[in-house]
Amino acid sequence: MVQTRIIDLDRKIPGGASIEFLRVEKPVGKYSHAPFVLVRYSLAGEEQEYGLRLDLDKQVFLDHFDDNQEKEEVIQKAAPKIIEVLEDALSASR
Amino acid sequence: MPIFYRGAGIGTYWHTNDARLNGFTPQSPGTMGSLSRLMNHIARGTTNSPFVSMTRSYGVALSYALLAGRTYPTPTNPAYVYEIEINDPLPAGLQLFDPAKEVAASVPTPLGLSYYHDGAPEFLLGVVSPTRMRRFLTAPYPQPPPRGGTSRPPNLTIELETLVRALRDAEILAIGTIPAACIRNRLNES
Repeated sequence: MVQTRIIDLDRKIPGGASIEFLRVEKPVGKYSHAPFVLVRYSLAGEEQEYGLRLDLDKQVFLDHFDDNQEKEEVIQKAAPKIIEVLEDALSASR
Repeated sequence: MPIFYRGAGIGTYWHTNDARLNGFTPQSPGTMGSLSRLMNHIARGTTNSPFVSMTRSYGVALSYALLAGRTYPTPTNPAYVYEIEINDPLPAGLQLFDPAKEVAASVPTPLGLSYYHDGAPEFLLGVVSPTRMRRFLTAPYPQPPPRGGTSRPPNLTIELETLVRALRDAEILAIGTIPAACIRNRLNES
């Protein structure tokens, strides 16, 4: 089973197009060096069952809103900011 | 009998759709393949492309299955790793590409510019892991004397990024449909 650490995004990441970024789930333990994290988000205030996969090496989301350009722009703009928050949180705990 | 793998995390297309029934198809089958599309597929995560990604490494596929799903798997809701066997001659309409070879072949001579960087040797560590080793990625490039040029990070081309990401994932790309007959197994992982 994958164990994760939760990093609350605490409204630090600008959303838009009804998207709000809630938190990052980062694998820990034997998977702590994996290049993937899961970003939980809500749409119109409702948390979605499935999160958005973020590749920390490529620094892009692996999931897309292909049918909604506005939402797609919101998540792609957010990717580097989410990584920054994640880096800060991880370096603070080292 | 070469074996390839593909991880399918929960909530992803190939978790919801069983590739053992109809095989693997690209997201945009009608789009022409090109070096530029190949590099964007690998380095930028563009999935709206004519390529299907596979890996030669079970470990890479396992990592995608367990850690790159849209939620994490459990024993009662496992992720999948597909085992794909592709023999020579390839199935009709299927082409395979080694991304590293494609990028290298695009550089006509060492006089051209492609995947070369102009940073220190440790610059590559920053490219490999920009989150953990950002300091190497952003350190100013060392200049020859009298070192009077504008300070900037080393050159990072999409060719170099593609090479590094393709090597990370032991990645092979396919154009065309990988027939269901090539999919030998779908393993549960959690």
